[in-house]
Amino acid sequence: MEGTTLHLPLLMMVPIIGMLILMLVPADKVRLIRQIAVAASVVALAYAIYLAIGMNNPGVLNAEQFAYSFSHPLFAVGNSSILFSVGVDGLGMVMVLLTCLLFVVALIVSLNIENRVREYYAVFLMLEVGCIGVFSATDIFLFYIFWELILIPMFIIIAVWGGRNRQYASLKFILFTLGGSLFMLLGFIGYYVAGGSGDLTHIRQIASGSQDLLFWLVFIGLAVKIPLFPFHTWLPDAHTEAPTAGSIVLAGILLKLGTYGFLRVLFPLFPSAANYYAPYIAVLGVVSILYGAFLAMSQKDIKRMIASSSISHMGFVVLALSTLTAGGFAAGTLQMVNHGIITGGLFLLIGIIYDRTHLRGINDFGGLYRVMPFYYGIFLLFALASIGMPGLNGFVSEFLCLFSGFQTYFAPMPLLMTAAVFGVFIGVIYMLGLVAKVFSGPAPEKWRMLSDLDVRESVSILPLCFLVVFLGIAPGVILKSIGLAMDLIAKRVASM
Amino acid sequence: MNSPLAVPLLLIPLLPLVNFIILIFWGKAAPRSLAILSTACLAAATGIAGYLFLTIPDGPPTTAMSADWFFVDKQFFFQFGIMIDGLAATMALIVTFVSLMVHIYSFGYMEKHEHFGRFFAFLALFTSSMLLLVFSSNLLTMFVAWEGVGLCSYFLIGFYFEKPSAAAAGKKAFITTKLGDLGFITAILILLTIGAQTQTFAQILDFESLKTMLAPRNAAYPLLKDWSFIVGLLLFFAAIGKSAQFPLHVWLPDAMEGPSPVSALIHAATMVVAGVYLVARMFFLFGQDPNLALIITLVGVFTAFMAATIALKSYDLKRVLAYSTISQIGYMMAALGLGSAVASMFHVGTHAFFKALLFLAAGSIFHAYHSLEIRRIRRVAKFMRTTSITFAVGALALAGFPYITAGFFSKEAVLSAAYEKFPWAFWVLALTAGLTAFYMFRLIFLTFFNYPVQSVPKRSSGDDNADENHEPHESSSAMTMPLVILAILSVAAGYFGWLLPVRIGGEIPHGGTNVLLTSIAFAIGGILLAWAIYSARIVKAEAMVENMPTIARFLENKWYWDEIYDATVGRLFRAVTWLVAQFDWYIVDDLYHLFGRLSVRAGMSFRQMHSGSVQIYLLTIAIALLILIFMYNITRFS
Repeated sequence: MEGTTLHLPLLMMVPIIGMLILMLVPADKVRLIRQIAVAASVVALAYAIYLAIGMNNPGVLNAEQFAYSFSHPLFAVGNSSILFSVGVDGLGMVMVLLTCLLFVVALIVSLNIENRVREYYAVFLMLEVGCIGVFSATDIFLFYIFWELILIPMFIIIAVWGGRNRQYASLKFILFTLGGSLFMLLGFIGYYVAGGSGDLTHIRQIASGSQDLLFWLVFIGLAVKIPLFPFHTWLPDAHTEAPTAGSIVLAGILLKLGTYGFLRVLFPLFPSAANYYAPYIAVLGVVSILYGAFLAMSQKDIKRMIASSSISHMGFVVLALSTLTAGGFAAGTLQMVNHGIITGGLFLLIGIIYDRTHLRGINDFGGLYRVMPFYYGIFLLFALASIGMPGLNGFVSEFLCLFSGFQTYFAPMPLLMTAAVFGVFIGVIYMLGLVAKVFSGPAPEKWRMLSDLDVRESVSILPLCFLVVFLGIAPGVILKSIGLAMDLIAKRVASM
Repeated sequence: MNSPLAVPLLLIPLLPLVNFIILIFWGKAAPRSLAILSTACLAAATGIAGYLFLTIPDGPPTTAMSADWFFVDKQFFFQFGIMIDGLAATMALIVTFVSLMVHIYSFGYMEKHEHFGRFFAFLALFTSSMLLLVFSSNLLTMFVAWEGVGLCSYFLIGFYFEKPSAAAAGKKAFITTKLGDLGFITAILILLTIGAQTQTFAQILDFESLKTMLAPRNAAYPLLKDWSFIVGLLLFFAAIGKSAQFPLHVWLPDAMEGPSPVSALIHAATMVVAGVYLVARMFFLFGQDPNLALIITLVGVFTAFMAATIALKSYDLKRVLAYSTISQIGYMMAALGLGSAVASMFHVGTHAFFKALLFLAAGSIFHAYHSLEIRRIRRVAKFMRTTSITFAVGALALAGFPYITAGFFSKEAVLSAAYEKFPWAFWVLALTAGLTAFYMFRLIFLTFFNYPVQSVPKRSSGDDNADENHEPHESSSAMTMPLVILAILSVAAGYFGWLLPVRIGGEIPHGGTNVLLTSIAFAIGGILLAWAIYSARIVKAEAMVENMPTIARFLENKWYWDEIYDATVGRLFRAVTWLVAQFDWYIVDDLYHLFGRLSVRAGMSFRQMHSGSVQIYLLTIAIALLILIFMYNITRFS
């Protein structure tokens, strides 16, 4: 096929090769194992950056505005076949980049893992393959396969390297997400039967009458992942029990799979249902914003608090996407990226004091301002980004999400939209409360000897710090590279 | 789009910003020399601001620079823009100058503090944000600066972060003002929504084009005019938060936890006047809607009176000054509501000098006495000559002592504006002026001389722990020099009021002899009353309190606002949080648990059927067959 390149399959091969090499190394050569794993993730990141830069070259995008397309039949179903078909547009590329970046961060911060190191890194690399796969799949069944591929490693990560209550949390995680994807699979099969093709680059319209049920089936599968109220209760448990790197990946990438699915499959496949039900989704988004925020207020455990705040922040994404406009899509995507960076960073930071003290309760700490000043500065940066301080990345995307929400829904639902703005305020209260509790006041005797960030921790957090500031000042970098894809998706949704 | 003014204009906020970055990264290595560099840069910025104030042409604002910041749709960019006009130039000069004084003073005040460098870093950032706010040419840029100002106040009020009360005060300030900011962002969002419907997306946030759109004779934007009341109300709510007006005034008295130079900066030139500046900047919106104007006047007048009454019964030197700020900002707001932006800005200017002076002098007293409790401070006039004289000058200016002080002229302008429009506002404000004179001189007579106090309270948490046994002495010259300069300006600024109409446009209102005599009478009357009670002791203060216990308690508890908020808003908020948590735990999550248990139970019961007994299997098959045959027959015959 013309224009076919092996770039994306090769990118996926990088972690796989890393994984295979790990299998050959004896389990007691811990140092070597760590080096190989981190090297594999760094190579993948470098490769992804190379591909992202290449996106700007003329002629890279094919007629459907996808780059690096590759297609190979897997097996036949009826008279068509299910394809191993990948490719990225601006949206997919940005998400792949975010994935590769956060995996480097997660693997570096895991250098202090001592328990089953080889298996740990192998599972993480497998997870990375799954994530890259979802963000670059252009066939619904391939999308589904990668989607499922992600579940197993994440389950293992929580169940093996998790905290005290890991059995409950991992089981809850797998049951929720498996249950959700079952609905999604039903929806996909229904679409395939009606449309005869699962190709996401040439989407076949199906009769609008048959869209409604399929729309909601796929929606549930995605909503569990985001997670939208009322499918959210697995998230705080999974986050609390997951190891630090697991939380980073979970918050930074896995939650985005759901909203990414909105843009890649849900809206384009079922445009007329999307147009009809969009206001309901907007309401769900706002409910999630407020519900998540109040839930975060009530938490006594720092990790649970940040996890609940994710529900709130992802609500902004859902609100923006539900406008079905190119601007809303762009705002939502930017918020996905920013939330991945900010929350990934926050979980990393919480992991740092957890490693030192084995405590996570808000009231367990105090006075760390004096004991760990550098840590305090960085934590404050991320907390401020999370509450939308202008100049940092959270502000632009939250503002744009609200902006696009107002454009579409202020006229019919003014009070609801005003309530969404109020969600920002609740965020300020719990975030500042957290900072004040943990850092202010006199330092208790037992925390006096805590050490500030070491090299491993600094190296893993600094790239995220840079992005928090950089994307706050120049969000155009991302908005520009996703603009075309957003226009196309919006056009497809509008042309039902 | 860049005019030749862009460079000097950008330099003014950028100089302190660069110093902030330098100080935050290297402030620990060389705090003193970098602080000197920062102060020198600020002096340069002050020079530029002064030059601009004197040279910018009259007339409409000049947009100096605008740059695209981010976008959503291809046709619409959010812009970052700065501009200058007379209002901005006046404000910038005040901000840079007062900040410069505070910088110099801080060399003495913070001399031995271990975070000397960090303190100067946040002073620089605070100044920079405020200057950006002053120069911003559209609402979004202003919002960025507005949030920056709020953030810096959080850092500086909570500067003694180890002290729980300081951390709490910083948090309270930030959260209260942030509540106001919701009004700001909602106003922006509504304006943009209207703009999208009338195809004026790009310009609707820009002050100048918004002004044209809202002009009374312009009929092209009916939707905008329908919404202008709501938008105005929301923006005013934001201004109330920053300017500590009722009902969001509760954060300011607690903000006294910050070091004194910070208080001076917050009260005189940065934080609290930001709200006044916003209303003045959007005067084309507030001025033309009589309902909005009335609301602003009401809030301003009520706040002025309420805060003055609380100050009567406060025993903390800085808290008295804090309430006086709330009260004076009330005057400025009222003047705006009464339609006189010039009178308001005049009062902003004079107030900046004497309030900075008062706070810095209070800091100097604290430095010597290690306490702010006015029943513990004695004979300041004897030990601290410069401080006491300059403090007295500031107090006279705040009291509006006739013809000598700047405060008299600007207050008279505000009162005149009220006299022309709402006589009731005039009388309340005049009475408040009397109260102001009284509580300021209560401070002076109590602390400057040897007034016998029946019960000296124990050391409060606000006192520092240095030993008390040595005799208080005058502060170093780094601290007294700014006091002297500000004292001179507190007198002289009144004679430069004529510059303002030239720079801002409009006229300083003069209400004639009635107004003049009334304001003189109240000012002198207040001072005399304070003299009679606290110096000559013709009337005993203690006896007055005993005769009016309810009022005394009411004032001492600050009208119970904190308690009222805690019992209403606070309780509601906690209740919702509790409800959501319970709902999530016992309803949502337990439903899933129930579902899980039911599946397990169902699995258990199905297991019964797989007992391995062939007889039961056969029986089941037979029954199933019978049912199938039965159903087949029904369908055939129907």
